[in-house]
Amino acid sequence: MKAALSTLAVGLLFGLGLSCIGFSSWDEVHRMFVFADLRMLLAFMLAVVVLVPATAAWKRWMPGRVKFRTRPTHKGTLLGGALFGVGWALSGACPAIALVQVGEGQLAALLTLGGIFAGNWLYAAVQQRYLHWDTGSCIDE
Amino acid sequence: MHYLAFWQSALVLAAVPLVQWLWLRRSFGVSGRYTALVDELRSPRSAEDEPEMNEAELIAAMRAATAEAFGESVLEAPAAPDPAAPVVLRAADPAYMHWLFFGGIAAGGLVSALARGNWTPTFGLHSELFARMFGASPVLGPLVLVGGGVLVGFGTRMAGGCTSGHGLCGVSQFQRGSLLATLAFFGTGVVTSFALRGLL
Amino acid sequence: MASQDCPHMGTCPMYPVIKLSGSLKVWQTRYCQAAYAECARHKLSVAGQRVPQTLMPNGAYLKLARASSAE
Repeated sequence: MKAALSTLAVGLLFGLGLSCIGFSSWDEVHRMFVFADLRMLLAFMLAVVVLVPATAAWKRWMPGRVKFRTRPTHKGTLLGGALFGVGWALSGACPAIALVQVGEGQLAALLTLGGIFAGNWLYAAVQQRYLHWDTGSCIDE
Repeated sequence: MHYLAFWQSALVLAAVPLVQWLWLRRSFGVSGRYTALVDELRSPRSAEDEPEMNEAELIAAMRAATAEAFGESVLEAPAAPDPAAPVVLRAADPAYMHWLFFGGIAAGGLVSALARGNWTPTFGLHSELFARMFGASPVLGPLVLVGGGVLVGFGTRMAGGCTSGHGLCGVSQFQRGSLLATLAFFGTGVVTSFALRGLL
Repeated sequence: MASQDCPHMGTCPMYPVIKLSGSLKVWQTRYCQAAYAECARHKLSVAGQRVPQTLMPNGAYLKLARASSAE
């Protein structure tokens, strides 16, 4: 019960934050990608800058508390990222954003959401049937 | 539309992974939850398949499996566990946890829209540019959204992460794969968006 | 020899446990540092499928031994 409530709360915080930042607006995302408005780009970069010492401190003082995922480089790293970027620019949504958009009442994002699930499924099928790429990790989540 | 300033936005973006680590003790990433849900559909599992184990239980189970595979003779006296790095098997989140997280994100969008007083659900995107680019035909917009979504789902699973896992967390841990993936998705996002300007 | 090391060593949740104890080293020499392509975990992963946490390299599953047999 506690785990369920915490999960819900973190999701809520994340969705609320993304919405207030403007990440759920197709127009804002587009303006970010064509460098017409640097606000969200700077926000993202500053967030990374803040997270560098925060993560290092976390690992130093609370080792083992969180199993951090390492994401090895493999054949799909660049290509997968590249495909994702095209999809993000077209739909205005990364995986979390489609959900925020639906919550905001931008119901067309349900199509994006369905597409994300379908695309994830499709990759699993393609990997199983044709690619057999070694991603360098047994952990997918 | 009034949005947070860049530095406020940055603090929000940085705070969310930290809160997740603190409350959920789980590495932060959204596309992985899609993967978990899809895998659950592709091959359902039961909780008994993957019990939670503490360090002593895990080592006992592994010793039993070792004896079964290689014979009792390979077993030595158990080593003293390292208290600084306890090894445990944590049961994977059940599917409903991922749905709860997703529901929370959507609820966050709802609360934000209500607070701004512009919660007007429509079957569209609240976007002027998208309408100007793709609004001419009633099928083009939906097609772009579905197609874009498929690329997002396919690409993030192939790359093993998205904006949160690779972009925020992986990059701030200087992981080479995350850096490459992030450069790739920002790069093609920029190129695609400039190409879309031609539709205006 | 390094070229024969399993590329999943760095992320495998089972590897730190195997490395920890002398008794479990047999797995390391049999699979992780040699025939990792035969490792059941590696095989599932390359097949694009979810790898159960309790799956051992030989395909057996870890079983939780309860202290008391009742219930």
